[in-house]
Order: sequence, then structure tokens, then C-alpha cells
Amino acid sequence: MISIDEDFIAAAAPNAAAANNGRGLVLKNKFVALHHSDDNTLLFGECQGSGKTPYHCSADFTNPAAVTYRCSCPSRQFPCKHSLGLLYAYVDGKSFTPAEVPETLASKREKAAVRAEKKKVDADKPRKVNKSALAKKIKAQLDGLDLLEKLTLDLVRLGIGNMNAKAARDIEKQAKRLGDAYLPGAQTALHHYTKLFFDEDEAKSSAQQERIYSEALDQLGRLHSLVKQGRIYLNSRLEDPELAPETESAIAAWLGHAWQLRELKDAGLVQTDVELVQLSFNSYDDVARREWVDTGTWMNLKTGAIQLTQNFRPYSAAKYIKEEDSFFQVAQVGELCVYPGDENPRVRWETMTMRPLAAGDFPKIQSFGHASFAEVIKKVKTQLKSPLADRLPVYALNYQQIGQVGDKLVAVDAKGERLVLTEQGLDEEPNTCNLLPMLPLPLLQQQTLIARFRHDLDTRKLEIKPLSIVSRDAIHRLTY
Amino acid sequence: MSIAVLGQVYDEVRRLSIAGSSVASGDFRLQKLIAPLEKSGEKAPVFKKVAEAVTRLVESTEKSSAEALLDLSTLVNAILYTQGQTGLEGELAPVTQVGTGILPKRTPSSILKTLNIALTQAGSGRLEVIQESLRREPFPDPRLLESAIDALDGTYHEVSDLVEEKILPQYGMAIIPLLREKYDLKGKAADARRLSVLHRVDPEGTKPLIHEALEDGSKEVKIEAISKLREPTDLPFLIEQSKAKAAAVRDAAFTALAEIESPEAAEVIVQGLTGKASLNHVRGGLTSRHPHVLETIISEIRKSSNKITTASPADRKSKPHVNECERLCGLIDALAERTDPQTESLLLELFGHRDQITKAESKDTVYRSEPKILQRMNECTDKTRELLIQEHESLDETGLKLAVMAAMQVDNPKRFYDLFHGYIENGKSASTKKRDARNKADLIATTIRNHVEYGHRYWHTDRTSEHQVAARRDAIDPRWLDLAIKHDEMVLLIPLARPGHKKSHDRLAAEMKKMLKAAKRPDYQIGDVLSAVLRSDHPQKVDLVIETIHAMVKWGHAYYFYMISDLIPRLPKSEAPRFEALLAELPDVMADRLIQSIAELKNKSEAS
Repeated sequence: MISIDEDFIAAAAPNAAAANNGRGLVLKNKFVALHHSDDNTLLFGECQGSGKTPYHCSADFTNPAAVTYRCSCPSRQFPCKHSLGLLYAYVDGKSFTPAEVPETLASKREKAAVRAEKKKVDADKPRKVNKSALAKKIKAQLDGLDLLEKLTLDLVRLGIGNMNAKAARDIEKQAKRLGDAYLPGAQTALHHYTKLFFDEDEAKSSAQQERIYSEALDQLGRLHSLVKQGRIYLNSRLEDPELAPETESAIAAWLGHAWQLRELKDAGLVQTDVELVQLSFNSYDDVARREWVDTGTWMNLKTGAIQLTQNFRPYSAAKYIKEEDSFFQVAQVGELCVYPGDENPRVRWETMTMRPLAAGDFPKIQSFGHASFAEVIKKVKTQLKSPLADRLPVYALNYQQIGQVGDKLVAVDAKGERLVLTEQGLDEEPNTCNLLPMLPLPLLQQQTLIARFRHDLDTRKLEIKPLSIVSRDAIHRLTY
Repeated sequence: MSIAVLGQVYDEVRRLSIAGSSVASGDFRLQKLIAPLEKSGEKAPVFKKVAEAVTRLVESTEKSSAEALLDLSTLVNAILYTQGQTGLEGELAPVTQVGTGILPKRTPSSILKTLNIALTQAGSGRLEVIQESLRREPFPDPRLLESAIDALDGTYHEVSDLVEEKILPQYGMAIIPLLREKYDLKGKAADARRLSVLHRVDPEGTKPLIHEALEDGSKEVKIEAISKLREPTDLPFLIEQSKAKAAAVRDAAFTALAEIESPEAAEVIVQGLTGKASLNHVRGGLTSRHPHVLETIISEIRKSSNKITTASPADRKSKPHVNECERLCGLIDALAERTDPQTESLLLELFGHRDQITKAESKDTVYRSEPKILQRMNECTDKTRELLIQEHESLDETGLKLAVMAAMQVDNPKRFYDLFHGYIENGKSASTKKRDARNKADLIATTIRNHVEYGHRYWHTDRTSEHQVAARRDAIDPRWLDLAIKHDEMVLLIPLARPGHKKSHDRLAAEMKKMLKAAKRPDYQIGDVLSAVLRSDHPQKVDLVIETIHAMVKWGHAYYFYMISDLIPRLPKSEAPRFEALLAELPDVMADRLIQSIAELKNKSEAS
């Protein structure tokens, strides 16, 4: 028996409009046939479209954690509105009659089953590496790093103060060659520098200008380190083509390696039977990557680690890619793939089921919070000294009190250690400190703060940006 | 660790990075730092490394300087990242709480972002986005507060009004500091709105701001502040402002004085009424219910009417006479909605002299006192209305309309029919030359229809208004409907058609068929007729609605789909399957417009 509800459909839909359109098809009685397979693992039907022949759509629940949607329509959205409509018809209690699975669909299912089986078998097989192709690629990457080094040194000779939008555009043109050299990550890192100079027409205050200089200097240091560490890493791989991508650090990702789930599994970067609770969510426009990035900050209820999901939607294909949104349930993941990285590694999964948050989940999250700020500060500083480290790590902090010293808000731990709260966080992240005085007072005492650390290069202060507060009975999100 | 010297190195590195590494070679400021770094290096090796990196940079050539500068900056940055200051000295105080505490709601990020954009940015459709979102109750959420406050500054005043009236008050006292932070008493409309919201959420606490605005506020802020004054202690100020040059300020002051029912306030209004200035000067005060004001208005009306009627024929063309005529009309308007004996007595007196007044009135102004007298009488008790009804034959069309309205308010449907149905009989059987009789028949029909359908619009109905329309219809003598059928008077038939009345149903069905046959566009009355079909519980109502939908498709006329989608939820729930089946036959664009209303019909709770 297939057991789904409207929340399931909303989570499956690529966006709210697709879900609405799917529901509309049901209301408009566009489904001329609704069936289920004898074994109740497949819903299939025919939906009248604008043409003469109806679209054949189906939802295959052979693996309930990874439902397969198929449709004969030309839509590039996945699942399309017809498949979503089929699910709505089922949830609405429309009559689905048992019927023989059409031959074409049955054959697709068989092929999918074979593929799944083959995938399982392949997963156990050692990967064959085309060594000559890999060596050729690595050499191209090393050439790319030479180019990146040359560009970086040219930029340093030119001076940050002499940068302008024209110079930034010229650099960007040359940076395209980094993409051709299989170094998209390095290209993005260079974009992070050049993007600082694009809005030169905008009047800036002296303080803003100084911040840009400091940020630019930091970015140049990162580029310099990327060249050095990247060269060491690539040379080591060139010497040993059997060598798998680096998993101890994020250097592979920095260079632009797109990790496949299989690679992560092969590298042992997988956790099984994990439950994840989303602590905060934000979606922002990453100008340097030319993508929208939907980022979820999650707590792994098994380990207490704070991990990130990142859904990249390139501008050019954004409408075809599922847009992630806030998730208010518990994601139950059979196999969680964890990317190499720092304190908050990126995670991905192929399949998941969900359950509502239970009363016991909140104390559990709190139990993973750090009681000693001093220990966390030490860990953060150790992380930040690496030039390629994540500059904005997120931690769960158990605070005794959030109070104020003058006009500054501070979080205090049980030992009296203080951390100053700041509004500075990610670009586009809304202000959150101003919300704290509006919250009920009990939330400012003895709760868990999900906070993003940030070292300000100009003031040389390490401060935190509040993202959420976890109390004994709820997660109160301060950002979005 | 000697962080100070490291800080100096960072500053110099930063300076050289801004200027370009080419100038780094031999830089004397950096050179001066080598010695202290080496000294510190004796205790901490990392300083030695920094000293070496500085030396390499200072001794670099133009070609090697860039790399040397990067090496040094990376090293210094890495050390400084480990030295970030945390904590803050000083006495820790509890966070000063604002309001009683609001929790963020469980609203998805996508909705919060959309709302944030709608509240703060320009672009079409913003109001609809916000109104639509209100169904999901995303407010009060502290995360949306800043955007909502910013929306007060918007140029789209409908959005600002919605935020001021519906959204921000939901936050209660919590918004006070944020509003006050932006509030500028010398500001424009947005600041007046801020003051208004502050007063809504904290009337007592806003008093000092109100007084400050009254003293020094800009015109917009001052007018808002005046509108909030209702205390007897505010009287001196209001009295002062009642003499202001700016009409808007003066008006606001008199309106406030009218609401404060004190002798002092009444005296100011009376002085304004009896003074030399025009009646417009004091118009805000004319709504006062204070007996002294009422007495003065009555006395001024008597004086004015006397002055008008006793004016010599020569004076009747003069400007002061025109002004006096307009003043009399203004004074009579001030009696609106008053039912006290003094007012009724005055109106009866004026009614008796109406011909005399009309004759003496200036022809150089459009203001006429007779319709105003009749209108005020219609607002009085049944006793006064009765006089109006009795005199219906002597009244002109405006007066006749008021007599019909009065008769419908006096609860005697049978008498109303007996007295007025003759106008329809005469008008409909009159020859075309007797335009007056036809006009009066039309006027009677239109007045009855307006009375029954008051507040009803077919393109936007609600259950309450529909029930009220039906109740008013049922209070009308049923013989009017027979009369409408007899004379084929659709203006009367549409509001009066009732359940179970076969003849009216037949006529409505015939009218609908005729309208639906139109080749190109619908008759503009189709919404009214279809509305009557539903209200009269026509046996073919569902068929007629469906036929209309098909006709709309034929006409390709989208506008009336809004009307249809408003009518569908009023049909029996059992008919939902027919409409669901119909959706499949309609073009997508048309079907999309009806989806919501059919869903509403389907989800109706009552078993109808």
C-alpha cells in the first residue's frame, strides 16, 4: 500500500508552482485514466494535455525512499506537473483501478531494476581509471594553476587600490581559461576576488572601502595558498595515478572536483542510518559562482555534527532544478555521504524518508551543544588559520544567558566566557540580533544557540551571528 | 606574544597590497619592524618566521616582490586569525525586552523571502502577494517586522495602508522602539503613519510624541497627531489649532473638538459657526453632538432661511445671497442622522416653507435646500417620514425617490404597494409622449432595486450581503413581483424574483437564453440576471451557470469569469462533480480561473 500525504508531494515538487499546477490538473479532471499495479507499487495514469494524445505519467514506489517519476510530456521539470497531479489524485482519494502495467512502462521498470541491480554490482567493483586521460587532465590542471599564479601575482603587483571594474572584467575573461583547464573551483575563487570591484559606481563610505581592501587581501592570500597546495596535491596525483582524490582536506573541491556519491562511498565518507534536523535555511545568489545556492544547516542526530546541504542552481538552468526550501521534519537517511571538509562538511543523500519532529529531538539537539565557549573558540581559531578553511563555521552553543553589555549583545556560557553577537554573516543573510529583544525572555536563558562564527579582519574580533535558538520544545529560526 | 608588532606588520602589508607590491622593495617602514620581530622571535619562533618573510619582501626585486608579499600576508593573516578577540568587558545586563515576546512562526523561507520583497521593493502585484499571504498568517513574525516597518515608507500607499492598519498592529508593543528609531516628527506621510501605528499599539505611551508633533511636527505629522487628541486636557491646543491657516490642520482640530463633547469644545465650534468666516472653515466641527452646537445650528438655519426668504428681489442676485444659500445647505447637511425632537420640528417647519425658500434661492448656485430637507426628513422618525410619504404626489423626482425610500423604511409593505404601484401602472401604459410618467415609473423600480440590493455587487458577493438582500426582498409586498411580470419590468424582477415563483423563473430563464445567444459579447446585465437566478433558487440554476460558462468561452471574454467564479461556491455542493467534469472541457486558461471556486464548492461544509 502506498502511503503518501500532501507534505510528501510538496517535498517532491521542484517548486510551489509545479505543485499548484499538478493539483489543478486533478481539479480540472484532466486525468482520463488512473490505475495502480496489482502489487501496489506503481501508480500510473493518462493526463490530457494540450495535444490530441494524453500524457502517460507514473510514480514508481518500488523503492519508497526513492520514488521514480516518469512522464511522456516534454517538460524539463522533474517530477513534472502530471506526475505530481497523479500523486494529488491519489491523496485526494480518486478512484485508482488495478490494471496491467502497460508494456512500455513495464519494460522501463525492468530496465530500471536491471540498472539498479547493475549499480549494486558495479558499486562493489573496483573502478577502472583511464590513467593516461587522468594524467593528461592533471597536467592541464597544473598548467591552469600556473595561469592562476600568474594572474594572482599580476594582481598583487597592480595593487588592490588600482583595481577597478574594467580590470576585474579583464581578469574574468582570462579566468575562463581556468574552467577549460578543469579548475572551475579555482575560477570561482578568482571570481570571489574580482566581484569585490564590480560595483565601483556605487558610492562607498571610507569604512566600506577599507572592508573591501581587507577582504581583497584575504582573497589574494587564499588564491596564493590554493596555487601552492593545489600544485602539491596535483603533483602527488600525477606521480601516483592510482591515488584517489584527497579526503583529508577540501583541496579537491577547491580546485573544482565535483564529488560523485560513489567516490564518497568508495572513500568511506558515508554514514548509515542517520537522522538529520534542519536548524536553519537560506537561499542566496552567489555572484561568483553564477548560481543560486540553497543552503540547509542540519544537525546530525547520530553524531551531533553540524552539516550543510547545498543545492546549486546555475542561473542558466535554475527553472529546471528543484528549489530547496525550509524543512520542518526529520530526514531519515539510509546512506549519508559526507564531503571532505572542515567543521561543517557538506552532505548529500540519494534517498530519504521523513518523520515529524518529536518531543525528544529538541533535548537531543541541546545535548550536542558545546557547553564551553573557550573550547569552541580554540577549535574555530585552529580552523581559521588555514588559508583555505571555511571562514564562517557554524556551532551549537549552550549558553547560560544572552545579555547585553552597553549596546552589544553577548552570549555567556556557564563559566562566564562571553561571545559578542554580530549582524555580520553571509551576504544576503537578514539581520538577526535585532530580533533577540523581541523574543520571550526564557529563550534568552539556558538554551542552545546555533551561531555562525566570523573573524572581522579590520577589528580583529571573533564574533558570532545567531541563526536559530533551540529550546526544549522547538527550533526558533531567526534567519531565512 | 607581541601582537602589537604583528598588527603593525599587517597594517604595512595591507598598505603595500593596496599600493602594489612593486613599491615594497626596500620599504623602510617594514624594515624598521624586522628588529623587534627578531627580538620577539627569540621567545616565539613564529615571529622569527615573520621577520624572515619581511626580510625577503624588503630585499625582493620588482619581479619577486609579489610572491614575497603574498607569503608574508598569508603568514600574518594566519597568525592574526588565531588571535581574534572574543568576549567583552563590562557589566552584563539582561537584554532590554521589547514587548511581551513574539516567536518566529513556522513559515517556509520561500514565503518569507517573497513577502520581504513585496514589502520592501517596487513592482506590480505586491499588494496581491501580501494580501494572499495573510491567509497563511505569517504575521506577527519578528523576521518580517523590519520589512513591514520599511513598507510604511513605500510609494504604493495601498501597501503602506495595509501594513499600517492590518499588519503592524499585530506586533503590539514590540514595534515601538523600531518605529521610534525611524520616526521623524518633521517627516512626511510615512512618519505620520509611524505615529499612527505607535498610537494604535500604545495610546498612552504615545502621548508625549503626539504633543511633540503638535508643537513642532511637519504638516502631515501634525494632522495625524491632532486626529489622535480626544482628551479634555487637549482642548487648549485644539482650540489654538482650530485657528490654523492650513485647512487640513484646522479641519483635523475641529473634527477632534467635535468628538470631545465638552462645553468648551462646543463653544469653539459655536463661535466658528456664528462667526464671519465661511461654514467650510468649521466643517470638521459640524458633526458635534453637543446640545449647544445643535441649538446653534438650528438657530442659524432659522436665521439663514429667514434671511433668504426676506431678501429683496434685487438682493437675490448678489454674491452674499448666493453665499447665504450655500450656507443654508451646509447647515442642513449638519443635521445628518439627527433624530432629536428639535431637529424634527425644524425640518417640518422648513418642509412647510420649502416652496417659499426654493423661490427665494439664488439661481447662481447649484445648491438647493429642498432635496436636503427631504433627505434629512427621511433620516428622522416614522412620524416625519409619514409626512414625506403623504406628500409624494406633490414632490418632484428627487422628492418622490425619498418618499419611496421613506415608505420602504416604514414597516408597512401592503401600504407601500398601495400607494406607489400606480406609478408603475401609469408609466408602463403611458404613451411615449408622457415622459414624466415613464420617468417616475423607472425611478420607483430603480429605487426599490437599490433598496433590495443595497451593498450587493455581483462581481464580489459575500454570504452576509446575499442573506441581507434576500431578507430585504422578502420584506417587499409580493404583488410588486407580479407587477414586474405583468409589465415585463426587469429592473424590478431581478431583485424581487424569489424561490418558487414560476413566472419569474420562466422570465429569468428566457432572459438568460436571449443573452446567451449573443454572438460577440455578453450583455452587461448578465451578471445581475444570473445572480437573480441563484438568489431565487431557480430550478435550472446549475444548467444556466454552465451554459454561461460555455458562452464565455465562445465570447473569449475573461472578465465575467470573475463573476462566475464568485457565483459557483453558492451552488449546492452536490453539483461539484458536474463542474469538475466541465473543467476538462474548458481551455486551460479558462479552467484555471475556475479551479479555486470549484474547489471551494467541493469543500463546502454544509450539505446543500
